[in-house]
Amino acid sequence: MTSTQRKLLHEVVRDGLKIQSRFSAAPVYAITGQGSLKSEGVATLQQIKRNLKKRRANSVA
Amino acid sequence: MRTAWLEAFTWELVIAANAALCQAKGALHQPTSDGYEPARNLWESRHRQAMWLDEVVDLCRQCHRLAPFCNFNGNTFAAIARQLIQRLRLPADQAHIVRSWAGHIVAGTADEAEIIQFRQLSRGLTAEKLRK
Repeated sequence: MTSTQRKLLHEVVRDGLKIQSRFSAAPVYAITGQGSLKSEGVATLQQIKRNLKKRRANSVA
Repeated sequence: MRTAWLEAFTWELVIAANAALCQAKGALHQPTSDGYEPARNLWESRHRQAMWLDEVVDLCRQCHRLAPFCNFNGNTFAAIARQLIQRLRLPADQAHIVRSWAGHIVAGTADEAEIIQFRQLSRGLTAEKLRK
């Protein structure tokens, strides 16, 4: 594996762990033909919006 | 813009990602008897090809559905698709939404509107909209 691929692997695993609790471990999609994914909720998006607002406010000040 | 989005994502990398995700949860990392070879063949025949981003995300969905591994196929392929969104020059809130669409498509839970919106975004991409 090249260093670029190692870096990509690291990023994929990091994100994969972040979303792991939303997915079933078992291959549900293969068995039922219906995907499943637990809702993320709005907390992450709200945090991003708060950060953007703060950054905009700081750049204006 | 069609490009080889998944060129660096070899099957070896896919296996390593699934192994790491299974290890983190103490789950068995093992190929499945029926899904592994079809998924590997599909991935290896297409991952170096130039494709639209929506085609790439659908390839991840197809591999998820084939279930090459006993556990955690969903977040393995969703994380790969979501990683590609990092290459787009988008404000953080929009990037979050687009990552979410990609994740839903790979998970097999996207509705028609999400699929259409993602396809429109994909087909409107130009080289200027990608990070170097």
